[in-house]
Amino acid sequence: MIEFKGVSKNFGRTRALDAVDITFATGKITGLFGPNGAGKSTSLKLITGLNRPDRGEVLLDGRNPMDSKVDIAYLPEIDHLYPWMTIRQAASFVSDFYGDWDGERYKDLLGFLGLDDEMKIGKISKGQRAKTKLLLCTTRRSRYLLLDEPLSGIDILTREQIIQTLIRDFREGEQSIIISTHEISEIEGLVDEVVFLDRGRVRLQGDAEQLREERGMSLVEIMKEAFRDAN
Amino acid sequence: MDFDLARPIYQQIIDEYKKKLIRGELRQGDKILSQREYAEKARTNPNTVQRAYREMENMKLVETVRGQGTFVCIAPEQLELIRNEMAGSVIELCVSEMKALGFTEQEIRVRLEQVLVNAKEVITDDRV
Amino acid sequence: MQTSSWRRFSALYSKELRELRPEIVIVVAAAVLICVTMFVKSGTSERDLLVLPIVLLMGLAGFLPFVATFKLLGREWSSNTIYLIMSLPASGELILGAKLAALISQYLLGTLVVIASAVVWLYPHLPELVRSLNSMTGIDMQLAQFIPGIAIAYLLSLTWLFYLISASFLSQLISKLFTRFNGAITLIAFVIILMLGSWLMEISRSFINTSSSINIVGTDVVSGLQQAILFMGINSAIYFIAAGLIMMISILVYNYRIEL
Repeated sequence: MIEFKGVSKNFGRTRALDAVDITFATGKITGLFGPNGAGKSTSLKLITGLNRPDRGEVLLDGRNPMDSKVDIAYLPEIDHLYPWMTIRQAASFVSDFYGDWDGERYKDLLGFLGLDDEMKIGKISKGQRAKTKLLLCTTRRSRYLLLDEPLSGIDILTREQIIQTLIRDFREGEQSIIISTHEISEIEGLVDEVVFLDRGRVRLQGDAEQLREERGMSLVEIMKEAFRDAN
Repeated sequence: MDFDLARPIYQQIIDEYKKKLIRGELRQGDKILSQREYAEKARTNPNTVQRAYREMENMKLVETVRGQGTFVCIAPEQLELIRNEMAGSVIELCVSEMKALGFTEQEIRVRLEQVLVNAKEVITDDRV
Repeated sequence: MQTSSWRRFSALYSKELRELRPEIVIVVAAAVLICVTMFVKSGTSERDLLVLPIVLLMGLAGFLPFVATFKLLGREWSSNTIYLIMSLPASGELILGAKLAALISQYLLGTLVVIASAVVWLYPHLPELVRSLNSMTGIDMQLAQFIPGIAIAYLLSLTWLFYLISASFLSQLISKLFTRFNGAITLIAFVIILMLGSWLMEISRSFINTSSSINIVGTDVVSGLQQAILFMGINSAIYFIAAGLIMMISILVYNYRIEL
């Protein structure tokens, strides 16, 4: 379980998060939705320990993010891999840090995603880089999987593959996945829970199926309504 | 499969299986997709599929045998029950929509007859 | 489940070495080229002229590791790979330690290769050199007597490098605490750290000098050599301690202050 307790975070004069309380349940896929600049990336960076809260605290099963890095697989929106490495070199580098690296699954996923691991990361297409990032995250049997805009700027077929990979390897009950995106419609069917963020505040959070049942609307429509009410 | 995202997905999964049972596409003892396979195929959350399967077990439509998979396991009277239930809900939907458009019960009856006659003609035309 | 520190360190270390490969290759290739030229031109006066490129290459081999500190650390930010590095279960000790180890390796490899080529150059001149040394000092000296001095001088150069690398790391990390003017802040921080460092070292040096009364102007060559060794040894120790302190501060800054 990941908890945000009254978390605020500023960057200079910009308020990224404003006294936010969120609970990400274990064993669920949570969609972290909201427009650009809502505080989605900051939330993920706080969980990963790349940022520290100005106020409040972030806890992963009661522990500090700094002490939980080994349990987290993090896929940032930007390209964070060494361009001079081949996919295999990057995989070998990452595998040296995590005991949950699964060599069998690596080969399996490589084939499924249609990647050749002799390819140099600096020379492959954007879609292939997105898949490489996903490969390095999902080869691990990590407790937490954090994906920051995993589909943005990716072609339709690659999106399908990415979503399928996530479903294939999701371990219900033990693994928690958080997907941040401003393109909700792509992953509506994929999430158990949703958190709508807007300008650093939580507008709405809850169980996706329950929200559909109660409101008779899709998540996209629910979010639009929530934002309309807020403004 | 494409879901209506304005309705709970687990219910749509159950409805899909009910329809297959009513149409006879699935029969007693047939093995259905595993939860993981279904989730992958429909690109939907495995927890949602799990919930749908659990409910179908509770409704005595399917049965999961540990290590072997999930099988259709439905009593004839139960099948008849969901058949009626589905028919009822479709007709009700039709009638309430027509009423909402301002048609009287008599008009609805006449039109329904007409549609049925036309459908029959189409079928006989096809045969010729 | 975490892998062993050693495994994580070696992964980081070999990654850093791979980043430094171009610089290492340049120095080694140049040294090899000089040696080949010496072999081809052996016995000619042109061979003697090769001392100049050797000295220049020595300077390059000593200087490149310092320049590379900006590449190894700064580039993590400019290429966004810091997102990967900081998300790894590896603290500043491992991250900065591996970078330091790679830079020291680069220095050792580069300078030792150049020293080797210098020895090759020197070899035919040895008898002549010993003769002039003896006539200069008036006593019968063996070259072997200089080896401890040379070794300690090399050690001193290593601690200088350690000191410069630490100062570079710390100043770069300090600049990352600000959102703008990173280049200027790095430069200013670097100068301030060096000034503070030399001030601190001056104090400790004068303290040591008064308490042990070292006098570099010896009565004869042998005791002068011994005193020089002692002097360089003490300086190495002072630089080493100062560099270690700066490195510790850098690690603390990385562990507790750096954010993305």
